[in-house]
Amino acid sequence: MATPRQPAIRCVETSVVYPNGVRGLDRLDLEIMRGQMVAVVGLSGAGKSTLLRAINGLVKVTGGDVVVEGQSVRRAEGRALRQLRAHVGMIFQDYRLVKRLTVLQNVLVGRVASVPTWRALIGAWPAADVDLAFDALERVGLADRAYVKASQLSGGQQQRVGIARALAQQPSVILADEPVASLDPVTSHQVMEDLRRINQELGITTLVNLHFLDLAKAYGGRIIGLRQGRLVFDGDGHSVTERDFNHIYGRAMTADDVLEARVTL
Amino acid sequence: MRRERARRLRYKVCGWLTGSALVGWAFWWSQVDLAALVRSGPRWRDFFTRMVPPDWSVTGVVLRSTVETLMIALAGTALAVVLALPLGFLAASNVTPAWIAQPVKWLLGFIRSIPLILVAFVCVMAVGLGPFPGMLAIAFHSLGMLGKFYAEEFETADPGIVAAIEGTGASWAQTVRYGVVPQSVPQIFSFTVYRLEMNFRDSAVLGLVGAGGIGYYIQLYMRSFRFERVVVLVVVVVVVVTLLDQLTFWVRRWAR
Repeated sequence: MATPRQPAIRCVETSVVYPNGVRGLDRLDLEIMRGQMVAVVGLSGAGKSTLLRAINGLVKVTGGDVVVEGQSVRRAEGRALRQLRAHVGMIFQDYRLVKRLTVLQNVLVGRVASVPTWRALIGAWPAADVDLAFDALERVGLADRAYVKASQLSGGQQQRVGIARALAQQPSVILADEPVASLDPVTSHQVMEDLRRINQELGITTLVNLHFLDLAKAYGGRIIGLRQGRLVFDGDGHSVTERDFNHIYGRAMTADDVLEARVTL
Repeated sequence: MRRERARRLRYKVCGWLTGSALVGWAFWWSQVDLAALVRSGPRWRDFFTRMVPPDWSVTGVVLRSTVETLMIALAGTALAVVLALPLGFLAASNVTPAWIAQPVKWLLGFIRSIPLILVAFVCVMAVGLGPFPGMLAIAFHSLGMLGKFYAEEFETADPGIVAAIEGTGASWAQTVRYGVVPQSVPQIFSFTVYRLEMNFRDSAVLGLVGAGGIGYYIQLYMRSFRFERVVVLVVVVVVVVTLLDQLTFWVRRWAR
């Protein structure tokens, strides 16, 4: 049964309509295979964030369903939903670390769903979980900053702590929502490199929302284009052309759409 | 535009007039009597001359009752914190559904609105004289204010971070522990210490109704016109309040 080409995420006519009537996703059909690295591109408001949040149930699916590792997100509630979320690590544009806590404590937050509640509440983490947290920090090169308060780190370092927190969950899927939108070009590449390395070494299915098209082309093995909540492009990252981007964006590409505008002499 | 300006000016004038009228009425109601103030000169002088020399022989008794007042305040505040934290969570609309949070907020408001002296009276009637009813009264009275403050502090927690913690599969309690609490700890700590300081000053009146502490000696010495002893009381209280002030200032600065 367990073939390597099994879908990690399957969207079946997935629709999301927010309580205020805004349509986030519009009957989206999508299959993402295990271990794939996928870049999701589109204008802001095209439904990129909604898609990621629908996958871990932070946003309610109102039509169709999302199936993660064989489990329906729409039907999951309570404990089942928490277990599903525990296997999906999420990374945010604004890092969302608890700034007053240390780097290590922030990473350990990724373990809360897997340790007894009372241990998490009083901070008596099992040694095995602390080891896991340190492993995660080592993967992003921040083990030496474990006991520093998160607020003292630079933006790029904070984002890497965010990645470590997701890794500590030992997830089967990582969702990264505009992970480099607040970072400078050099740091952006480092963070994207980290994500790619983790995807390749650990085989974790990874979805990255990206605003910059050149980053999407460079790091996304597969590119998915959304426009007004609909799938308008699905293809290989290497073969994607400017015309494809124009189609996704509904307009011509501009210098604002790429991280590093090419300098021509 | 010009008409808008005129309208705003009218509002402003109306506001000022209403405000001043209200304050003037308050003075009238308080029966302000300048003549009586002028005539009171000799009595002030009498009061101050009879303060010296202070009767230092009561220092021991006064100190002991001051410490008792401090301890009543500390124990009362501690009990209030233990009760206010869970009530604070229940009253915080970002961690508790509104149909629970709103009634809890009303309950806290109700508790807060009962004057301390009344609470102390009831506690004395219930459990008898001494510091114990004083401590109960302080705990009950501060509970309302601490609970409300805690709830408001929890509500300011960044919802993005709370969502991020929820997204790791954390349960409600775990989300509160890691998403809400750490963001509020410095403010909560600082405000609790401030409340302790307030409780010490409030506890000074508890003795008036037999609920222990320094208040007993305040009324005893005042009613028997022993001003040379009252001055010792005042000195001790001023010194302790000043020290406590400085101490809490340091503690609160350290917490930030």
